[in-house]
Amino acid sequence: MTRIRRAMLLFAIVALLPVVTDALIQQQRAQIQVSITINVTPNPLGYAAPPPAATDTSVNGIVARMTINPKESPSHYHAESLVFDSGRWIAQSQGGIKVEATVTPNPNGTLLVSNVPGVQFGQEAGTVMTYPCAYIVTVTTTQTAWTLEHGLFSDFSGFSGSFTGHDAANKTHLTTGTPQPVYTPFIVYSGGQSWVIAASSGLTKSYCVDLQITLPISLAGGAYSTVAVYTLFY
Amino acid sequence: MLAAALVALALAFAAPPRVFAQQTGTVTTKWRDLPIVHIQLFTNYNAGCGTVPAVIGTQPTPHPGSDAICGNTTTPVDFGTVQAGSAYLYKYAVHLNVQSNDPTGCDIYGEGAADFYLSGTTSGSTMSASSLYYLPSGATSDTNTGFSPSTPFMLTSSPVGGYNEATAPSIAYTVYPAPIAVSGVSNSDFYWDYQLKVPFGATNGKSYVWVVYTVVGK
Repeated sequence: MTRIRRAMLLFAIVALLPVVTDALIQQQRAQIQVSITINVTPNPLGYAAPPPAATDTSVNGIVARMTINPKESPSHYHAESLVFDSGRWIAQSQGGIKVEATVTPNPNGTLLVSNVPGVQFGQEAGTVMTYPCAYIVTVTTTQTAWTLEHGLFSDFSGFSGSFTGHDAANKTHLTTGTPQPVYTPFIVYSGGQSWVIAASSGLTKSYCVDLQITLPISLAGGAYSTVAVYTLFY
Repeated sequence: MLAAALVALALAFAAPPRVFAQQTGTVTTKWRDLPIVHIQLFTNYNAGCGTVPAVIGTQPTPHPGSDAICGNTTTPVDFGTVQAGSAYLYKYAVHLNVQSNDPTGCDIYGEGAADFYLSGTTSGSTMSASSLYYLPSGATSDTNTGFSPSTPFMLTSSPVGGYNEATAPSIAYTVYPAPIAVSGVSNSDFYWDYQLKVPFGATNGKSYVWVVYTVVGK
């Protein structure tokens, strides 16, 4: 190894040492989650919509009609193949659950916050939709060097099924900045992936999170959800 | 003699008795009985119920709020003290038992009858009903965390009757919302955990909300 190469290696080590040590000694300071719920409507291709329920009593809801002739002798009554379809009869039972909570201020104040606890979108199976600035994550601190990590905790799940969290992609950019040209799929923590850095910066910053959701065409209708997790280190 | 003649005259003009050919046939009569649907709601239905902060890794021991008692299935789901901007899981929150004579099953609806109100009041939202989420649980085991996927309750758009803090209100549906669960059999049980995702702007103090479950035979 020549002397010049040794010098360059030493310079690289010296230059990188503060970055590495800073990353190693950073501690988790705050963590928040933002729920992402997709209300999926089935794709109409191959979907046979059920007939509407008979909810009215107007002529449109009548499926059989009888006319009584008061002059007709009872002995001449004719009845052939009569079908009385009642339509949908409603039987229901109802009950309530009381839920309580006592809210107190957050000791971390506004260190790491989102503008909403969760977002909900309606989308048809088999489509790709983008949701610009679906939510905003803000770091409020005087620290000059911090790291914000993010990812999805799990795949999307609902009572109708599930789909991979990798079908959700994001552009996380300063609210005052220009979005990146392409979307990046979220990592899925419960799938064995590690959190990734959303931003390394300092002081107070707000980030728009643009979402792009790609739904499989075979997805059944219903609500599917997951949570995006944001963790602040410094 | 005269009387006999009159009787004979009357009989002569009287119409002969009507004679009909007897006809027989079958009549098929079908009807649909209104199915019977009966539900029972149980809160805090298992030991180990209560609030767990959303943390990754080893899960803290659940602790219900003071108004909730694990095993006392009529006590409220009480998250206790929560921090604005934080998320919580409530284990073994609600068990819904459905009994019906409808073999095709039932649709289950669940909605917030109102937003969260401060205790002692019936107006003035402290946080949205959609801050409360539900997710499947088990009868005696539960591996959920505060990060498990869940679905928010929606605030009903139908008329609500009798809303107050003490007793369960009712919702009068003309159009039902999307079901939160469906059953394909006549009798079934559903177990749910709740999650509370407290907005940063939530009003401090004790709040309450009523979640109304409606079960309809198919």
